[in-house]
Amino acid sequence: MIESAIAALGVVLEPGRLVWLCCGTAVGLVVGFLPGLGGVVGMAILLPFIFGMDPYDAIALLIGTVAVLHTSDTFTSILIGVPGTAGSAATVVEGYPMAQRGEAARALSASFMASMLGGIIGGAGLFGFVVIAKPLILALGSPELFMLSLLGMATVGVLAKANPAAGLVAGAVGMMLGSIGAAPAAAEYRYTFHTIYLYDGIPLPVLGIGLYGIPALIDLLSSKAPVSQGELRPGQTLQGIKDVFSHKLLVLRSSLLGAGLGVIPGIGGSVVDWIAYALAAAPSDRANFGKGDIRGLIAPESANNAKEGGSLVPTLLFGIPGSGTTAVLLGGFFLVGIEPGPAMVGKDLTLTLSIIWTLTIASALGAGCCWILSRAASRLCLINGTKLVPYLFIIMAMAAYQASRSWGDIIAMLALSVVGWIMQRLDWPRPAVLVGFVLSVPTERYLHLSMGRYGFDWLRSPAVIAIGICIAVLVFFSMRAAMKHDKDAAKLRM
Amino acid sequence: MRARLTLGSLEFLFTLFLTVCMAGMAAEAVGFSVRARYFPLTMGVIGTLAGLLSLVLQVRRHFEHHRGASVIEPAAEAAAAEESDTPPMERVASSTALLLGFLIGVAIFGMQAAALIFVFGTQYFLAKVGFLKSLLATGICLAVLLLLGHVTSIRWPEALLPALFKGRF
Repeated sequence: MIESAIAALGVVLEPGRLVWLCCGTAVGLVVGFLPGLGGVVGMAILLPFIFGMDPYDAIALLIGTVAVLHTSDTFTSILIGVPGTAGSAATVVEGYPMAQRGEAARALSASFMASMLGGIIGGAGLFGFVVIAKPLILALGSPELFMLSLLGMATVGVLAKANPAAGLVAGAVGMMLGSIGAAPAAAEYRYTFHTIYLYDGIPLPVLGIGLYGIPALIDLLSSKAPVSQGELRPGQTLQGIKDVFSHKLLVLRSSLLGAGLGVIPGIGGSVVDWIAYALAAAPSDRANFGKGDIRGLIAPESANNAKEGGSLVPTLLFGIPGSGTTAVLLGGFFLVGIEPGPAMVGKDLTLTLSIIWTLTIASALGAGCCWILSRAASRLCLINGTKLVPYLFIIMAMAAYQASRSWGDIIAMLALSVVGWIMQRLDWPRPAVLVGFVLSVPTERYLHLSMGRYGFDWLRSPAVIAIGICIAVLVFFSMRAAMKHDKDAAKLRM
Repeated sequence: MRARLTLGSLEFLFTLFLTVCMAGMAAEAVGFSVRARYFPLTMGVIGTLAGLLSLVLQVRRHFEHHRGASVIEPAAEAAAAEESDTPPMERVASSTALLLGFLIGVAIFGMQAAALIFVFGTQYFLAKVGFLKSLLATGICLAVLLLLGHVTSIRWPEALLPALFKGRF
């Protein structure tokens, strides 16, 4: 294991690979910095460019992006009170009041340090899980993996919103979109309507850009306002670093919490954020919370970066993405020939360890870049949407076209952007569509293998029954909670 | 209140549309060969059932709303909270038209020419940036596009119009 870890570090530290890592980190910082874009858009833009790349280079680029998304979103959260991504919403509660009272530099500095430590602890957590997970993962067969895929889809669907049925519909829509084109287990085309473009299915970048990118651009352009407003005030940088080290136990606890919760598919950054914030201090010791308490800033920032390490556990070891971003990341892995699953702790162990190293190095690099670029980068937020959108739209249209280099890509992107915009307006969980789409291929393969090997007997396996019960319980309690929410709302209005 | 009901109706219609699509796809899956059928049929049935469940819950909320024990639709509730941040439909329509206009431009003139017109037009007329700055921004954008195309061998969307007239003149 140690030899593999050292070999993986050597692979990651190759100069050419470090350049890709820096490129990914830069993309992640910019995407995280611009409110509304989010990780899925950034990843979807990168996907067309990794075709034919060396797998390790592609990992450096993609993981470099993922690792720092929740580092740079701190700028807008603290300076302007606008969360860059859903995962930085809790940061606003304490960070913005600190900025208002002239402690923006302290808040930024503390956030970046907490993010960096969280990322490193998350990477260590992932490393630890790889060590202990090997026998567990290797014991899983295709029936259990099929059920775990369904569990992942159900979790993302029902936890994403107060209306779990909508989440399940969204997940199923993703799965059905993924089944368009050639059937993997038979010489047959499905749902192509005799359109040549659909024979290869809908490309993932087109789906990602359509669902997320274009709706975000339309809203940005329609608002005719700057992405955000505010100014960076210098000073107090060292105080922020001291704050983090004087609350080192809080950092450790929040990071472990983030990494632990990140392992569960569907626990998005926003949920982890708020749980860490809630547990940052005892109820009797929260008098200053909401008024700019540094503990309420350090806890979510540590947790949301550590979560990235944890969320890679189901993605890498089970092939189950836990969020929209990891769903696109999983798609990227497939594009360069990496097949997540039990082999990641077997013959592909070096690959897994290189991902962990990349995640850890990128976290440190991202936090360092944020310190250096903080003042200059904050000016990007002041650019009016009308100035910014044309460039972003050209990049997105270009990225979508690279998927299959056909006008079908552009048409599909437009059609999916209508669906994405409606889902955004209705607050439906768009990650569930992406997760369902990415999971469709492995899920179908696991189902096909299970049926081929065991017929319907696999349904009697204890592990399959246990996972099935988990899914049923999850859906039942989510539905009950949603209905209780409806009743409470009715009582309040009566 | 009107906006909430409108969003509620939109959610109902959207759910109905998706449910019909799921049911249709499940029905079509029955005609596939056995190996190609399992997965889409299973997912189609799950999607249809989830869609029907969602519709039933929405109808239930609607009737409770009319009984006086008003319950806000979750979508409407979430959207209403952001109502002040949501741009009006007219602006959304004009923004969408602008982006579509660019794509039509790409279809007619090709990517580089359309990008040139699009960037200059939006910077000068929409963002009210000065003429020289708009020209500079357009030039930089075009240079980046050409450089990117050269370095990474990116293929641009081909203009459809020249293809139509190819060989006629």
